[in-house]
Amino acid sequence: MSSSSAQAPGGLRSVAKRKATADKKAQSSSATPLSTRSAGAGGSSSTMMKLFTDEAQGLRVDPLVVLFLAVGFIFSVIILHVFAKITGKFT
Amino acid sequence: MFPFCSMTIGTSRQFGFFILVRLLDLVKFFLPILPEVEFPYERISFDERVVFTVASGIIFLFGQLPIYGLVANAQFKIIDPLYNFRTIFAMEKGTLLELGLLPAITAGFIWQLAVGLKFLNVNLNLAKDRELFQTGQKLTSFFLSVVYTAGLIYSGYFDNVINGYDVLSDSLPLGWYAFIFVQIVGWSFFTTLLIEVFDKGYAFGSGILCFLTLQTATNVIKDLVGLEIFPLINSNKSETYGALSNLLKSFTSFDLTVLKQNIINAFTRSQLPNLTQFYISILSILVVIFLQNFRIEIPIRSTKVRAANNVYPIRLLYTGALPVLFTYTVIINIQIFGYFLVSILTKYNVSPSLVALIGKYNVPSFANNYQLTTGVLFYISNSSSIIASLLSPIKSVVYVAFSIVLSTWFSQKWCYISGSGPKDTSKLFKDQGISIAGKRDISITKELSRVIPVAAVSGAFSLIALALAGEILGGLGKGVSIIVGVSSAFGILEEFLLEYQQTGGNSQFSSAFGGL
Repeated sequence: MSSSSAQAPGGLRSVAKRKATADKKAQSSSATPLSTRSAGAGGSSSTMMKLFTDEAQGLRVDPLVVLFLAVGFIFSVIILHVFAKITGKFT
Repeated sequence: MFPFCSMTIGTSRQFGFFILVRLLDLVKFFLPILPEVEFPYERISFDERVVFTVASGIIFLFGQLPIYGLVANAQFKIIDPLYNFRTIFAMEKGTLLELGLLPAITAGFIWQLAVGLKFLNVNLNLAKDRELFQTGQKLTSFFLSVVYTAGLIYSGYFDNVINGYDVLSDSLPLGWYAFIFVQIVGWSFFTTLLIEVFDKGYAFGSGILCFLTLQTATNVIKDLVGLEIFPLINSNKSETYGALSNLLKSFTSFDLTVLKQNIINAFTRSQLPNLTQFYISILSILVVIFLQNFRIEIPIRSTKVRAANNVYPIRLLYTGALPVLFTYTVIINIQIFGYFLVSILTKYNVSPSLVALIGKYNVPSFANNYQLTTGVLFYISNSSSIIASLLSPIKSVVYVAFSIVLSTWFSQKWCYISGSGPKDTSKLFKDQGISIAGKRDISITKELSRVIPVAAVSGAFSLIALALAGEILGGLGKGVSIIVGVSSAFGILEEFLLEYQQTGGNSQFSSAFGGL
């Protein structure tokens, strides 16, 4: 058998081509986004790295609460240092 | 026998989906107990964003407080295996910022690359999946901080600086270990939450890059003109912290031989910042600013309005400093886990020649660092000076090649998966009614994909080349942190100015400082 007879005539070939394009299209339309930004929800851009984009269910806190808690944590460590200094002086 | 048996036997795609469900379920389990910063109810005004940025920045810098439980000046007494990379991640020895931003950055890269490269089958179109995705990053960040801290404590990193503890005679100071653990992990936890405050739009830029920039800026100033005087290890001398202030101080002596010695010392001292690192930093700043200006301007026109022509700039540094940051994230993680592995194997009395395959540490008498002398870890570490780089040429070449490959690979992937690739940009063009002048709508993607990936890869290559030039000369990570800091600062400044222009002068700050 020669290779030319294995090839389907023109009509069939264009059907195959059409199927390939349709497949490609279906694949690209069903493809899930690769990042939160391409899903349209913000997040990391090409130059900025962001971790948090959505508000998940959880223990919701105000940003000010976060700042105050962080300051509170720092102060507790400072107080520990101060106590250590004071007790160190007397013993 | 098992209800999910039939699911596991299937195509690889089903199998992947099966793993995904399990993984996200695992994250779901922690959802109710993890704190979550609320989104703003209404638009945050320009002034509020400035206040939030400054306030969180100052609170972050408070993390340079020494850990309670260590002796005074612990940062000079800790023998440090990560001395050559820690500045890049704002890791400050012996302080609450012992881990710096490393857990958050590592967690972010792991998750975002895993999804971008389709190792995980997460559908980010669904809000539910996005929430789990972000909680996964937060959880990983907490988990990593626990692992790093536990590893450091286990390896005996803090042993010779714990208050009143003698390694040879006392039993393990478990109470002090617990104190140190709680402080480092606690501050890492708050750092992650502060990053979240930034990322949710209360402040400018991304939390990670803003904090890195801030830390780099303060460190450059401190390294240059820091005035504190510290005693040196294994010597009876004390020197000023800042490189320049130390040099100026040496001019008080008029004896020429002493003066010459002092000047040489100012360039080569290894315990405190030296002038070589400072010059590398300055050169890096200048080159990054120079590279920042390169761009290709694509002529665009509106499809709706006649004669509305403009240009769309595509920068050479299309992915910014993220490839460099990624490269060093990989390297430092290899180094840190390698260090843990070496100390674990040593504790279990594995033969030293086997451990040396991974890495062998040596403490030089003139410095308080663990310096690598052989092993896998040695070949992906930088050198402390140009002489050291030239003395071990194979290592230098391996290190340079490894970094360049990682960095360019990452930039090539990142420009597609970060949502600013050719396809996403052409979608943006379509939504805004923009087209490239002289091209049909369909060929926009093709046109952009001829430019964007090339820009990303060559930009990443030039930045990593700059970083490596600094490293070979003995920058010890200072040059790299400057590169990341300066290019992030550009991004943050851009967002700041955009926001400022959009407020239209309704800002209290601009009216207060406008007259200056």
